[in-house]
Amino acid sequence: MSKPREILKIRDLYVNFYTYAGVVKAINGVDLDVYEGEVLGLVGETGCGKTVTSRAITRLIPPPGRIERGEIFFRKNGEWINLLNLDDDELRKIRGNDIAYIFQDPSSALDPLYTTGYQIAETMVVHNRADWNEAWKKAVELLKETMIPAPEERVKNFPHELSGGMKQRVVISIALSNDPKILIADEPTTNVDVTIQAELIDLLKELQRRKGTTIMLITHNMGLIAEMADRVAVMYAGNIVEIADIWTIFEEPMHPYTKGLLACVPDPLKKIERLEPIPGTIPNLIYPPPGCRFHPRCPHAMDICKKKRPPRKEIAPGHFVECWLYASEEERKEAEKE
Amino acid sequence: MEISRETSFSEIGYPLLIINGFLIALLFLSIIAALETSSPNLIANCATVFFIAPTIINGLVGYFLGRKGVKRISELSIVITVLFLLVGVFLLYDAVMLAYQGIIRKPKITHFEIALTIPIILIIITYIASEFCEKKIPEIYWRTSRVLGDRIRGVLSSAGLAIIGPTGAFFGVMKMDPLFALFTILYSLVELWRTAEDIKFILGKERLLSVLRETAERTFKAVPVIHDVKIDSMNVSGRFVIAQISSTVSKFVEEEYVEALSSFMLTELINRLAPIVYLRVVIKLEKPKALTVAVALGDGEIVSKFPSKRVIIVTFDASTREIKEEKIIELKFDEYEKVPEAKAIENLARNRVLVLATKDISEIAKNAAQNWFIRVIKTEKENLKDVLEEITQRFLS
Amino acid sequence: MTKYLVEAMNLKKYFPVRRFLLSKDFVKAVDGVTFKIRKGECLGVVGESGSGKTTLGRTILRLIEPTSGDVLFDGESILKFKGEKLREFRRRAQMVFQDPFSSLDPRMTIMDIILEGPRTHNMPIKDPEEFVVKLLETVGLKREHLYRYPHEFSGGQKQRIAIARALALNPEFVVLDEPTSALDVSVQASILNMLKDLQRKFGLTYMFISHDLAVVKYMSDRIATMYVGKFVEIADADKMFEEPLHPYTMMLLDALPVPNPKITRARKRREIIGEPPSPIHLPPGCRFYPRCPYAMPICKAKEPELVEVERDREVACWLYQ
Repeated sequence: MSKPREILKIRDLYVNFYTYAGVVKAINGVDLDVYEGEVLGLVGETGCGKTVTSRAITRLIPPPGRIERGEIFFRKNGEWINLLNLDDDELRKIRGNDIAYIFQDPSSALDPLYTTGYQIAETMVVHNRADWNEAWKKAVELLKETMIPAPEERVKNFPHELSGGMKQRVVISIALSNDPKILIADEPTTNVDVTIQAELIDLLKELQRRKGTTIMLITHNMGLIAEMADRVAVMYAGNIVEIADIWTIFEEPMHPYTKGLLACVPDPLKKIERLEPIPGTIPNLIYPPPGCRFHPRCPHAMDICKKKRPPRKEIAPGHFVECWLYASEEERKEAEKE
Repeated sequence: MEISRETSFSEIGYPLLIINGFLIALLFLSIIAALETSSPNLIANCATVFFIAPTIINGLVGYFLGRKGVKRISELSIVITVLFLLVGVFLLYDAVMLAYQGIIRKPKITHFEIALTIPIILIIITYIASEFCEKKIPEIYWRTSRVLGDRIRGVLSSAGLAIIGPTGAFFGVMKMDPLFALFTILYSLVELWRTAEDIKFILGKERLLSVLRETAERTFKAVPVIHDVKIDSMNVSGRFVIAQISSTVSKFVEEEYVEALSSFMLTELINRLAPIVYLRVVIKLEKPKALTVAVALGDGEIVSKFPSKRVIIVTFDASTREIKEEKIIELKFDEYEKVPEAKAIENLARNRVLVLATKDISEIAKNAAQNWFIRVIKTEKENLKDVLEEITQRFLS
Repeated sequence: MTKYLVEAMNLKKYFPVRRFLLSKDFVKAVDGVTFKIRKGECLGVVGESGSGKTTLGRTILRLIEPTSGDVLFDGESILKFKGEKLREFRRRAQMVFQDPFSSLDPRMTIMDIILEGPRTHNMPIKDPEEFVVKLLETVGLKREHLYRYPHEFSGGQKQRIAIARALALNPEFVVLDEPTSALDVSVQASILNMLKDLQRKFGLTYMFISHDLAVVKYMSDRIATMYVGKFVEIADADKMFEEPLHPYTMMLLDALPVPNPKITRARKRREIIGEPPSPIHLPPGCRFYPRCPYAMPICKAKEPELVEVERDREVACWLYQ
């Protein structure tokens, strides 16, 4: 089996928000690789920066946000291009075409004044993938793929005539209409009932298996991650603290935050005596804590943690952690000298 | 031997009588008001009541004639509808003429005491009739009660409009009577159109027939115990549907199961063929040509308890008691199957099994069997041959 | 003192939807719910959107007037309560709402918010400040928070305040409607732990309403699954997960995202079909019929009642009757 190739590389990403209250240092140096055909889960709580990171990929950061520095490489047709260097027109050709999004609330993604068929067809026409006739036919096909019953009828429906689950399927159809290389799903099942969530998960898995689309799954729901992700990147306060494959993350988490996160999620199939909450609160990113941003809440915090940001270490193949506990003696001594 | 179930008098027949009683009162009062007052408002109102009447009368006619099995109900209901429509149109024309006269020349309204009180009484009666419709007809017939209620409530709008003109005239503004009559007349046209739609509905009864056929074929025939579903009759009276179907069920099925079956069929029809005024389901028990039996098997030909690994399905010729057909089914299920015994019973039912013989049976399987109309026999016999012997003795002698 | 603190008997709440003129449709939000909660117990109510669980929570406390049926609190019918009796009930039975952002008056200080209840009920308090500080400390907040305003707090802290407010009246029964759904996982964990501690410390009886089965299981002794206005299964929490009886409960458990890839990757689930019916004109028979993999003919004709099939286990399904 050939080694999977990267399709997206995020390097040294910094994003700030210039608000009236101050400068929010939302993304604080993020490095991330995404491999072709995988489902990468980006997990974290509110304010960790997972959504901002995903939007930064196609520069969907409105003011007062600004991408301060970094590079985002996307492999298009075998060539690496830096998305942050493209001009607006070229980027627009990629957004919705090579890289597509699904968001949390399907109602806000759909225009209430146009039929679902129109909206699906529109994405194809706008990106010159088809003319209106073909696009319309393809729209029915796409809906059929998402296993919506009676797709020929559904194309003529308006969004308000559909239930939440069906709307989300339409949104998925739109996103997949141009056969994107990467599908970014931001909390796709948060507002949806558990049974519909299961349907959507099964659907996404099936579509991914069939089309080989790379999926970036952004969520705070560890159960969803367990269902879908191949690899997981855990984010905290603008940093990626740990990256590992799905089994490792759950069975051998290394970063104290990952461990804490897993300990406070109730597993319904186990008898839990007590959940272990993480003490403290998410830091204010206008005045973030120096050094490792997790140190105020970390049970293992050392002096160096308060001063310098930990380096990323690969402690096993494919398993990365950013934590001073796993840095070598020399690295720690070097850091303390500065 | 047959068992039948029908829409009862207390559920539909009695309410229809009462509502028609209200209708008669409304008609009577409206006619008096029209004759005595010469107000185009009251005459238009009377026309409206005539337009609304046939839907309600046809409901009553449909129920009583449907019960008797009369064939030509649709034709009768068309006649009734057309008659009332004609009278109403004639009245409406009269109202239009009077309104026109009243506007360009002199309004001719008389008997204010009648013009002002009758609409109020009409409103009160309609209110009572409407509440009666909503509350006294069982929920399962909600579509029927909707149709009746919506039409009767039309009188509310009409009477409400009709009182405005005369009130104005009463206070001296004589022209208000003919002027406001324009609104009352317009509303009357709305009700005219609605009733004309009744005729369209009656004429489209073929479409309904196909719905009924589909229900009979798909839904009923899908229940393995039911064979031979026949649509005895189907009729439309105004907006309402009348139907009678009969089916045959093997005599081997227990009586209480047959009761449950008739209830199931009636409920299904009520749900599909709305709105209805009369339905009848007849189940005839007949001596079938064959009896299909299942025996739970362990290894070889040893009888086991259910659910078991295998089941043998044997079809006997009912008269000769010979085995016509035999097959063995392995009961295997997907790993995510949570209640395999229920699925096993469903499997048996779809194979037209009527009797299941087994050493012992789980509670759930027993309930499922009951609900699929399969009789469960607990047998002491160990051997398949003995069990089959026991069954033939019991059922086929 | 009766053994059952709260008893609901065929409780119904229908919301009228006006059609036109006199005609009305009814949304049958709660369509005949019967259950008992023992003193000191936590009954979890699980359901998806449209199940009616929120309406149930409010109707139990008579924040909404029931359409029919009855609720007994400590043996007495709450529908008969008036004046003083009703006030006493409101003191003894409290509610914590889902949204901490909107349940606290933004123009009142924490001190006022917490004291509002006791003041309304004329509870004699010797030292109001100390009283409130003690409550705040019980929920994990501090003295310095006394005179601050809600907007100065995080979601988790606001929910703690809401809980403190409910506790200020020394209640016996608390209905918690999705108390942690709007919160992050780590915050949720600490609130849930606190709720458990409080229950033990003060002998509280809870009704915990949520769509999150995992959370409900953690908190509850018994769980009731609700589907379109009715309870379809009531069972001991552990038992329900080990052996769900009602096909809807089975579907919920199958669909549950479990934070354990060994399980999620290994399990296969049946394809979930359909959606819940409209709660206005429900077809006859079992309301789960269209989605039930075990549907039998009778299920379409007659609605099964909620009956006890084993000790402490009630199911409404023809598979068990």
